[in-house]
Amino acid sequence: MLEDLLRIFSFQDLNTRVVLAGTTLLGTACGAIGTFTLLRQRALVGDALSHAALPGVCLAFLILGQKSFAGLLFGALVSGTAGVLVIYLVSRYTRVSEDASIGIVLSTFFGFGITLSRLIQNDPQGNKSGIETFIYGKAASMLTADAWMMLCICLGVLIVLLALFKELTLVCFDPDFARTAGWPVGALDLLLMAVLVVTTIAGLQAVGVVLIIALLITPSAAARFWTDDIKSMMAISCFFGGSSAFIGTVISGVSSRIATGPMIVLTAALIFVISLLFGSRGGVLARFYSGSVASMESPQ
Amino acid sequence: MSDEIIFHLWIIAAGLLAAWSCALLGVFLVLRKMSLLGDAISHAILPGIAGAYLLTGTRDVLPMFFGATCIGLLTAYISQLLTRHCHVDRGAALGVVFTTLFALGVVMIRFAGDTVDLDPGCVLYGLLELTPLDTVDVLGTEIPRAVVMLGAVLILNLLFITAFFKELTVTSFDPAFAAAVGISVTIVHYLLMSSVAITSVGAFESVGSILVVAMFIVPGAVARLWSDRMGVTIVGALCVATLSTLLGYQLAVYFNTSVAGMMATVAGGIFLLSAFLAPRYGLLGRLMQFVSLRIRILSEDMLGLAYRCRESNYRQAFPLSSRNLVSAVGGGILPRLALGALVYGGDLSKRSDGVYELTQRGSERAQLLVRTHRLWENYLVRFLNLKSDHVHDTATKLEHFTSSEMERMLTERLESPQYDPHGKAIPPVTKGPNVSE
Repeated sequence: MLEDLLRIFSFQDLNTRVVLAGTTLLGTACGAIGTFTLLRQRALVGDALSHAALPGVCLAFLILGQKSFAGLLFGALVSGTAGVLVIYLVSRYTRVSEDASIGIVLSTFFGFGITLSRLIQNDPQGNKSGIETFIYGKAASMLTADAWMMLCICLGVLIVLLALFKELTLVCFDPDFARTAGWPVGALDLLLMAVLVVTTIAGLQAVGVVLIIALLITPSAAARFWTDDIKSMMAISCFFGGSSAFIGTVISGVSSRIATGPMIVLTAALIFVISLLFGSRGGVLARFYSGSVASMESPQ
Repeated sequence: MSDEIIFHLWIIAAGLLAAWSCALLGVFLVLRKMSLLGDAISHAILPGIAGAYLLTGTRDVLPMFFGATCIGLLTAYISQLLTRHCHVDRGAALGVVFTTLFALGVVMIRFAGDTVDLDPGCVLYGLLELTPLDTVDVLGTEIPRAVVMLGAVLILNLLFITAFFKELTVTSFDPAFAAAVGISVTIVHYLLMSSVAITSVGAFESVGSILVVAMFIVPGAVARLWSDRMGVTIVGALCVATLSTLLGYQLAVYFNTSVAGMMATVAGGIFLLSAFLAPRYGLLGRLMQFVSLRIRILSEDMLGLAYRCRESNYRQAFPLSSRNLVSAVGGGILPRLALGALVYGGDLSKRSDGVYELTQRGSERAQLLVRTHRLWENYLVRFLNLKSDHVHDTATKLEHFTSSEMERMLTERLESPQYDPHGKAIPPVTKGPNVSE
């Protein structure tokens, strides 16, 4: 155990370095985009998105035949985007509410993906390992190229979000005002969704369909307990996302039995609970303290 | 019956029972905007199932139900606590809770290692195809375990819905009223959540959580697109569930693929069709409503135009050719359709030189429209103190939405005026709009 830890922290083998760098960058990017999706009250769109990516992955696999990673990513991108568009259209133009349309898209797209993946498994020549990776995630198999891709995506996400920081903030806090002031709210929303799609798809292969949702939601929800300022919230959220990915990966490095994805999610959950209890803005202790001070000071 | 047919029938039976159990509760989940709670609970029960398995060491049903129901209720409770008392966004609270529990479940299963034959993949998409292989002895007949379990769940859900139908409906539509008449909203909520958890567990092994989510949400949402009545919605949801199961199974057998996945796919297809075709709440229905309203307004504008032309003897300067009529109300496809509707309805007739004329019926309609328009102008000037050159546009909008009843009240209120603010004569009511020819 001690040797394992020593091995990880001395960063001796390339594999450890690559996986650690990859997951940490992913966590950071998810934390950044999560801040905006949380404030725009679209936290669970990531849920639908990650599930909706599966049929695209399978279709790309069926069409391209060989396991071409770029092709799979492209397929995921297309069907994920289609899923988000369906949610938008259905909740905007029919009677179905947004939460129901999220549920419908995630379950039916994923169901369709499962039927396709079974078709691939039936094919004796098919190598299904690529698809399994997309469903459950396998951070440990990350390659150097994947880590570089994570770096590019992380930087890209941060650049886009920082460049449009003011506009996105306005859209998140007061979309009606933004609309009347002449900002293209629809286009900004779509841009936000596009960034979300890219981040989610990139993260799928690392932590899997269900657990990527946690990385998109938990760090930003935890950061909300520490600040009311959106800039600091984004910084804290990036830090939480990156560090839970880092710590989770280190813990899972100790034993081959512990999968990386779930460990990252549990670390993020621990950070969330700590923030919930001790957070300086709206944390349970802070509110209890300020509540008792207020009741002591208030005149009877 | 041959064994093979019985094998198929058992699979269909298990699928139908699961789909019905979920659809029954799903109607209320969709109605209460809690669809995603169903999604969250069906994922979150994993540690409950794994925990029960690890503690007892058997795949006994009762501990699993107990563990999973506890975890399901915990999910609902914690996420509500986070939303209500810690001001976490509703979706985010659900997301945090269910992903954490799911991760915990995966870790527990991995730790149990080789001794456990629980596969996280099974949890997601199940193996409906294998249900007939695992049978139990019921009164001397071999019945698949899943069918027994899902049958029990369905009966439980039916009992729950029948016993609490009034309470469920009232708390869904008007929680404040429900509280006022003494129905505990909280108790009904947690009863529903326990049923959701029990149904998720019952279905998880055979059909997997994805189909559970699809069957919770899709049938209810489809039925809501077609109907406004609670009873019809429930029956409709059950029909959608049945259709998805039967068609999904056929297709799955044909393509040799996952039954649960195909059922979800078919359900998605049914939803897509309904979203387009549903008469009142679907996309095409709403488009048709919009188009027909637009055509009515345009054709009324044309009638008014024709009447005013006749009134001021503009026939020479502005002949009512189809081009003039269409371009006068904006031009394009819809005005052409509106003109066609007027001719078809017998309001306008086309002379041999291509000029349109008001028929008897058309001029009565036009007269009433112009009368309403000028009455409104009078009203706006007299009671709202608007300037007489500011009232035309408003009156043009109002004339399309004025019933004959309202026209009578306007006449009474204005004491039957003869002229509008611009000095034009207000035409009298002819025979009244209800008289047909």
